[in-house]
Amino acid sequence: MRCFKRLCCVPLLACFLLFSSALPGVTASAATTLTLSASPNPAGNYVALNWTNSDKSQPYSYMLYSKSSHETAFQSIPSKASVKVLNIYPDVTPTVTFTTWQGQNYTLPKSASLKIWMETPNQYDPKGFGKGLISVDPVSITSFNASPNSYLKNSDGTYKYDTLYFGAWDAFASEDLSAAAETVTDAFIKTGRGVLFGHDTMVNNDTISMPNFFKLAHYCNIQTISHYTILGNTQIKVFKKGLLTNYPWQVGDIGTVLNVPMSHSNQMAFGDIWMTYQQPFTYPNSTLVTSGLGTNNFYLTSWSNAAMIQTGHSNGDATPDEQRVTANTLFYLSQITTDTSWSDHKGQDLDAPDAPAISGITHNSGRTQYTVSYSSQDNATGYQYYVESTGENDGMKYDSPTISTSIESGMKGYSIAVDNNPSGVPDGSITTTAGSYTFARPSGSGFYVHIAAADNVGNVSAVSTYHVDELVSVTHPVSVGYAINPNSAAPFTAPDVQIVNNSTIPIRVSVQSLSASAGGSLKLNDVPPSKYTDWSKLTSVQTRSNIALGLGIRETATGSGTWSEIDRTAPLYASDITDKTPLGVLNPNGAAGTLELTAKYGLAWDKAYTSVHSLSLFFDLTD
Amino acid sequence: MKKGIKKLLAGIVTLAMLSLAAVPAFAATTTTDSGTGSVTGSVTINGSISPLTISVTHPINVAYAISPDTGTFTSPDIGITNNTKTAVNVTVQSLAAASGGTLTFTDVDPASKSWNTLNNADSKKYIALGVKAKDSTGWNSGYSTATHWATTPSPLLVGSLNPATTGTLTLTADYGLAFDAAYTANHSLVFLFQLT
Repeated sequence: MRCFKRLCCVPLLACFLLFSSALPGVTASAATTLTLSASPNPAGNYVALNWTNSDKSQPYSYMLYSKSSHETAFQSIPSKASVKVLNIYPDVTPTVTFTTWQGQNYTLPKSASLKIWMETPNQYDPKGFGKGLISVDPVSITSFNASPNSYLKNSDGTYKYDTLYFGAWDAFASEDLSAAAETVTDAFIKTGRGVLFGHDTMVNNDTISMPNFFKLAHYCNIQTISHYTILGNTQIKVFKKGLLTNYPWQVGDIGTVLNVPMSHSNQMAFGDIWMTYQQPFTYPNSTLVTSGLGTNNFYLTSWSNAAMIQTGHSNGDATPDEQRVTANTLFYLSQITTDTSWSDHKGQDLDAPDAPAISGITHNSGRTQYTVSYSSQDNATGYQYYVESTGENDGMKYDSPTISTSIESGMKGYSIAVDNNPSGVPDGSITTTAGSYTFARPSGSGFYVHIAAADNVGNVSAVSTYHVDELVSVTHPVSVGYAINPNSAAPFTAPDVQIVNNSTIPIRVSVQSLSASAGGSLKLNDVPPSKYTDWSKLTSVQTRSNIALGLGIRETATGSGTWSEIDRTAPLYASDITDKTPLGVLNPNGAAGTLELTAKYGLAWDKAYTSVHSLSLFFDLTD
Repeated sequence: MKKGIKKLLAGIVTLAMLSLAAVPAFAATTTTDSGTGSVTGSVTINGSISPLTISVTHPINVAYAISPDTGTFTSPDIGITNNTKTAVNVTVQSLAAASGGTLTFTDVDPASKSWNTLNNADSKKYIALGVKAKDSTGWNSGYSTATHWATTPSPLLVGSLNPATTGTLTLTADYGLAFDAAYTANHSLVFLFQLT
């Protein structure tokens, strides 16, 4: 029956290929129709996937493939909610005794510590770092090498485990896979099930050689360095963000430094590198090697459903950070399911909102309260999916068409910091959800407002900074002198009063007061220019008593190097000033404006006199 | 016989001729005021004022004539022109007989003598000479129509003249007629010109 079906499928398959060459990994059959749908769930920050298979003639297992808008190639993704792991450990003498969260007591070689890490309660989770999602069965490498399938499969030939873990001990206690175990493991990997290789397993150089293990290195996209070359540290740094770094444990964003026992690499990774060693490398004789896209600076690398972690160099020791990373990696590698739905927690909103656009800032009349206005919008992360089915009877693989979706968690709010630091960064906590924020003015002549937008899953935008500069700096003469020579055709002469705005902001220039003051041989009275219709007819007494002294802007037009606004074109006389009177606004950054003195006065001066006026100018911000 | 009188006209002018020409002072040192939000800047404005030059044009001498045969006294007008930019007051500061002629009169009050009956000796000795505004032309309102006699002890403010305006004074006299020969006599007339 299966043979007939395959024969019938051949011409149909050829036809399908002609019209579907754009599909990834096309091995579809016209008789086997896989359909996949995706529904983003922004609140849960995942994408719900459902697929159907038209072929009911045999059971199928499935592997999901995904590619985000930030990735260049499809990779398989987790597809199970709980994980069963077989820990194949090297034979060592030290043992550990422990009790799992389910109350079972064990005494195992220390190299089999994975079960302790995943299943014993700790201060971080009562079910261990596996959170009750990961269960571990241990078996020694000696036993596994002798009869691998008896550990991997049920009596009906189905696999027991989602993922294998080879580890963890320094040099893997110099125990390689047997040829049989290598073959079985290869077959296991080819089903899409996960394998995590520990420290010194995938190594084949002039000092350490695990030839059978290394036959599987290509699954991890790992290559050897023929000469023993190591690089390591007790600190690692998150290099790539994704499911592996945040499910079921949040281990930190890119750049987060994690603490691990001393370990090192001894090979080149060309796949996805999730964590690198922090520089400077403290492991003795560390040597950095790069080759094309490959590097030996990796602590954890993966490629599809296989990965390598450097846990094991310190003989069973593991920090909480390392145990979290291990739990996440085991979950990540469990990628084969017989279910037809999956909530893809790797399909997350990874894109931060746009950096806020700051539209402006206002203040109250006393400049004690400021309000900044801004806006931003969240960005979606796009995903493409397809599902690959494998007939459990005939091993044939079929792919669904590729579908696209996107997930956007939406804006949560804004994190805002106000300080005197031009490079300040908000702490990430939500200050407000509104599009404006009012705050008390910090001390100093200026301040900075830093705003970052955050979406509902914690993606934080780039920081937008607004500088409020309120430093007023103006240069003007300390004194000027005018002269009245009644015998001259132009009796009144006075130098210009030049004002230079050194500020980086426009400054309004006002006259606060102008009045006669003591200090000369004669103190004149400030009268309006209209007091006399003909000042030339003043008597000597009137001349010695009254003057109409004023000032105004000499420039008649605005310009970039001078006034940006001229409020008064007519002279402002001393007698007119009852309050602060604006004259104009000077442009910033060295713009200069000129005030000129003017006067109405008598001519009947009977002798020489001196007279003093006090001019008080007021410079302030324009907004 | 005509008698001449030499008049000395002196313009007493307040000539505080300080050489403070119209030299504009330049801005001196500058200062920079800085502050947060606003700042006040003070500028001292120093005024330097020169006195006005009074300029008046007048004759430096005038001559009067006494003709006893016809009993007439004749003299030219004394024109005073104000060249100043403002009005000036014209004051007769003094008028007094002066030496230098063939006679030196004694100034007396016009009412103190019976002038038509003076003998030769008294005619050569006494005269009542005065000066006054000829008419209103040129003078600002309020000018004085009084005569300043040489015996008047206090100066007489005749009136004020606007710029570029001429006012006219004239001499008047009472005198004897019994001159036995031709004589000359001098008087000194002093004006004071002031800003109004």
